[in-house]
Amino acid sequence: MCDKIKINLVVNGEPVTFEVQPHVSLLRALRDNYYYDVKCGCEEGDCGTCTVLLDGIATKSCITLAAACEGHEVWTDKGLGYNDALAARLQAAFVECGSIQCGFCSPGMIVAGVHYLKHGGKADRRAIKRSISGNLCRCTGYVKIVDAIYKVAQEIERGALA
Amino acid sequence: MKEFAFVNAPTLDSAVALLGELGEKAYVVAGGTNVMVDIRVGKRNGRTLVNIRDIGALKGISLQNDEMRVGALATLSQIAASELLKEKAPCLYMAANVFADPTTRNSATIAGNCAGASPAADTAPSLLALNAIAHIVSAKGERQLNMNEFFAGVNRTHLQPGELITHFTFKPSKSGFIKLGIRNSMAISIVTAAAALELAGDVVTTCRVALGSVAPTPVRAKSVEAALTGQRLTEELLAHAAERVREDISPIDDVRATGAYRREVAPVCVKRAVKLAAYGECR
Amino acid sequence: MKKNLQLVGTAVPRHDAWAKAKGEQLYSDDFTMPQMLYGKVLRSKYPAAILRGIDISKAKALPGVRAVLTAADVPKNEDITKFGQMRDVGGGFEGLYKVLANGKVRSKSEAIALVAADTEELAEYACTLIEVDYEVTEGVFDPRESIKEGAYVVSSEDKDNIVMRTKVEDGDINAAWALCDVVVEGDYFTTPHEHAYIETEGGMAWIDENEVVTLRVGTQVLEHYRTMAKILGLPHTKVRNMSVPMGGGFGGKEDMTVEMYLALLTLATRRPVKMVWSREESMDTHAKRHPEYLHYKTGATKDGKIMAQEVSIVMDSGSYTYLTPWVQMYSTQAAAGPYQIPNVRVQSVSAFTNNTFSSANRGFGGTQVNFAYERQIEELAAKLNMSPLELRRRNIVHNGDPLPTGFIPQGHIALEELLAKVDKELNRTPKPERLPDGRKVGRAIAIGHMVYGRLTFLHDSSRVSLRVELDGSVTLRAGVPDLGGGQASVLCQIIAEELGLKITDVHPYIMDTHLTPLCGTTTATRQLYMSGNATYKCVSIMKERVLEKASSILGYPPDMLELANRKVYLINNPLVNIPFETVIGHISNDGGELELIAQFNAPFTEVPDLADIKSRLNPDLTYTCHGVEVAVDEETGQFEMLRLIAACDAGKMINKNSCEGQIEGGAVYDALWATHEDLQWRNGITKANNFSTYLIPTSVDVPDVETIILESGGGLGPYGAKGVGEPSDNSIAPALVNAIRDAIGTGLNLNKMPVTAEKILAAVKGIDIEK
Repeated sequence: MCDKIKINLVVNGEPVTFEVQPHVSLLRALRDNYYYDVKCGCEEGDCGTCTVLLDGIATKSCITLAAACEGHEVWTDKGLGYNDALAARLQAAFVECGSIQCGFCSPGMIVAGVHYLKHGGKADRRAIKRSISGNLCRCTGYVKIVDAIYKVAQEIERGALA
Repeated sequence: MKEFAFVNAPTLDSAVALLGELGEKAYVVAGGTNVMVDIRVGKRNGRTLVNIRDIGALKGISLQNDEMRVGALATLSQIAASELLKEKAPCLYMAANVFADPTTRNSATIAGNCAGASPAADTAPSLLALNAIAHIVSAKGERQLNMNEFFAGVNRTHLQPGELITHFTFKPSKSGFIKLGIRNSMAISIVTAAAALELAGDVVTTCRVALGSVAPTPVRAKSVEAALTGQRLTEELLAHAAERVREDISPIDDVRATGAYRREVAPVCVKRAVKLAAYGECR
Repeated sequence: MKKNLQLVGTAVPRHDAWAKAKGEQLYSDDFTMPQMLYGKVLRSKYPAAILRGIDISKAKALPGVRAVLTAADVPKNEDITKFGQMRDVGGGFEGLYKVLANGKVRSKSEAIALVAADTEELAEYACTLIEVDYEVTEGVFDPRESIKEGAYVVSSEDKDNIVMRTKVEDGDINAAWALCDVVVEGDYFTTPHEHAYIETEGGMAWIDENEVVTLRVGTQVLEHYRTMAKILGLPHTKVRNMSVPMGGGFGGKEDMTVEMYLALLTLATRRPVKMVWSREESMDTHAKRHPEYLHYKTGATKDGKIMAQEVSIVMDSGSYTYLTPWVQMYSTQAAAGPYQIPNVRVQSVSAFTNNTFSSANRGFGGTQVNFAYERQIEELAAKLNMSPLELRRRNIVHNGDPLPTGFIPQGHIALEELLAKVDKELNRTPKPERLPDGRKVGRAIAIGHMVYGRLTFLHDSSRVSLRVELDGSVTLRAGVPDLGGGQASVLCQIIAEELGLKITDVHPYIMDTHLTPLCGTTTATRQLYMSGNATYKCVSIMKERVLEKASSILGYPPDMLELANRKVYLINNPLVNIPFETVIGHISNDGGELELIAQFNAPFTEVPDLADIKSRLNPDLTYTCHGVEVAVDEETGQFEMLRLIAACDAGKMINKNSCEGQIEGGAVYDALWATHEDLQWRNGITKANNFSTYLIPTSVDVPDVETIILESGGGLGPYGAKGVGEPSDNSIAPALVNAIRDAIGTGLNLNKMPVTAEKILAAVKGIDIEK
């Protein structure tokens, strides 16, 4: 087995050091360090449940090399919820709109939604659907997930959310 | 057991030096979307992963002296959102917009998509149709490689050990791109087609058509081009010319579609790509 | 029953939604313990072989490898398959369950050996060092071949491959054909369907301080602990699953998954062991919806009265029995559809093959026959030159009509209303021939019926317990596995409704085999029906107790009192009231009982005569109707679903969001089954075994589901509710394919899944490629 290397990055606002094998994914590195809100569904970039914000951009952590994240900033669904008003609002909208069934896709889905809303996403169902089309959900049929993102987008447009 | 090493290349110079030293042992990682899948399934074990993700010199999309320049590390999302490319190279812009899914596009880079040399690489047919040049650097110096001479086979290119793509250049062109996938997102192509045209009135003066997923490498449809060049672009001509694509392709059966189906729909894709290039719409 | 419901029927947030949104919910893969090892399963290299020997010495010698186990290490390697039923039904209903392979290897999913090692990578590597001596044999991969005499026999334990034969017959089928003016006949095939839950199977196990083998594994069937105890040779009291919510189940976590392997490895090493399957292992290994080969022949008079239907079904059981006989009974009973046909014969046979085993998948035998009979109805309508809607209207079942088994469902049958509503919605604007971009437009409607509640001869029951705390809050204890449908939350909602509390006043403790009363399986669309009724029964006793005590304090008879807003109040004058908490204080002071357990039993029947089923098999049925509009690209054969209308009689919605969520999710779950979701089984190998090749719908592959929910009140669940979980994925697949048929104007190539773009394109060109 290859020797582990140390990587320094910022996760959910805190500087951390991970000891990882050189080839492991950011997903593995996060889960090995107990960031269990980042879920593993396929490890091939085909389901999106491991989505995190990397330097503010929605990124599938399973197809991101952990070692390449040295010096970069990662936010997960859980960290966002406790530190970011918009993300907390989107989480609440998921609860209100019945967007959550088994919940396994929810953290990644919410991060994808946060990315959409933070990059000027509008209350437009087609655009919202496109933005989450890298995240699979097998329970909901997506309707109520789109409802939640749409609701928060509307609130932003109305100026109800800073 | 997996035995990889890792080195970071924060600058272009350091990347060139590292690649020169490592030679065949190097495995360049940018976005990681292909590399991580390869590592997981056990490919290229024992290599040294060379991270180029943070090299600023390889980024950016710009127009210089009527020539488009797309950095190797331009992500598919950046290409998909580029107003410049939408105007100057619509085929590449369209390809980026149907590549994988929006989140994967945030990581995937254009050079990575080409260097992986998948027959289904979505940006490749557009780069062929645009007659794009890959600018390559190594410890030995710089060289240019036309994208039409870039691919060597399934997952193989004419890049040499130690070489790194820095950027692509091409002339702006009226162009269009069509992707046929099984799904509307996160779908690997069944057939893709890109077309770039120059028209004098309704006469086709120059034309390049390229396809993906129909041969071991992305291919030019020379028979189609020959049938179109110098002719008035009419519905009848296009229907006739598109059919000739069958002479240019050698599709196989795989998990996504049969070769027979690919053969059936390749002319349809060609027809639509040419129409997109000529008229901005395909029906 | 309460007159003015305040909470039931509303979209109140589920108790688990917050944790899931905030990333706080822990699933099977989210636990770690000191000294924890990682387990891996070595699967068979071949779909059919004889196991000659296994040499584990190299794997065992590897530093860091702590255990390597084979069949010889399992205390009792074989048992019968059980799925939580409390009654031994014996006979053909229970098949062989084998932990690790010996004798004949039956499929590539067969587990050959287990490894526990210090790291996951090491365990995986150790598996590659195990030397297995296989004698590769021919194998059989098509049940139509495997039922033949002289076919390769899949198992070492049986003489042939037949799992079960059964029949349902009504009227005089042979005489009936003479009454028919028009007859249609067709062969149908339905592909194995993959559950594709986003969470793969996994979990961990350890031995606790009292020598209890303890697991944290999400499962739809907590009662598997009993089988585990038998296999391990331990008392039932010494195997416990502190289960966790599943990241989706859909029937795929109904069979045992990692439980047995984890228990064996933790016992062998006396260290905690974790095991999580990769996506590929999950898809290669766990059960699939049964592939079915169906032949239908249907006859009708020229005015569209269906007089006769004859059906034969060959089901692929794959490598083991598991739930095959039960699924087969569902298929056989439902095969004639929700139509009143006087003369019916349905014969079915299931058989082993060297494919991955088949078992439960949402829809449980109902979806396969639904696809075939609704395709058949469409072709019959075409031949009669009658609108498919009208043909359905003339033949659907109504209240009081018996099923071909003779059983008359007690619940309401809402097909008439469902058809009318979906037709009105789908055709609210005239259908255009083509879209502006040239694509052909098609519309179609299909209906379905699907039972809820388990087979009645299994004598199903559920129990829950509740305790009113001294502050007036309520603890619910229920062994209800929650796979995401809100199974536990509706129980809280019922309690809060009846006791006049807020939903947040009720907290559920769920899914522990030994600390929560066993609710039975989260399968068969039964939890709301069974545990909902048990909860209603339990809370009603508590409510009566509260009202009696309040009556003695307020001085009014109990029937003049009601509970709401955390108060007991006088119905005629709500100003006369007493806080709920105060009443509870009085009951407690007086030594009254504040902790209760109640059991609900489903209707019980005897085991039917398989040669000719003539009795009730299920409690009741739920009826669905789907309407689809598609646009078909005639040059490529590709289609786009433009509209998807999903209608269902839910009886009564308990939680509006959860109920709609099932109906929306169910429609999308099977929306692309017929066309896109193909595992590509080739000689026992699953070619499409990951999410880049097995394509489930993304958010841009389906339109927003337009949901129509009827509330007839005619169900057997609490407040007249019916189950909707599985019915919701019936009738979508045929609605889609029939809409494609409507668009292209031919039924060519549309009977055998997968209905690919290539097949549709061939149909457009008039080429028959299904023959």
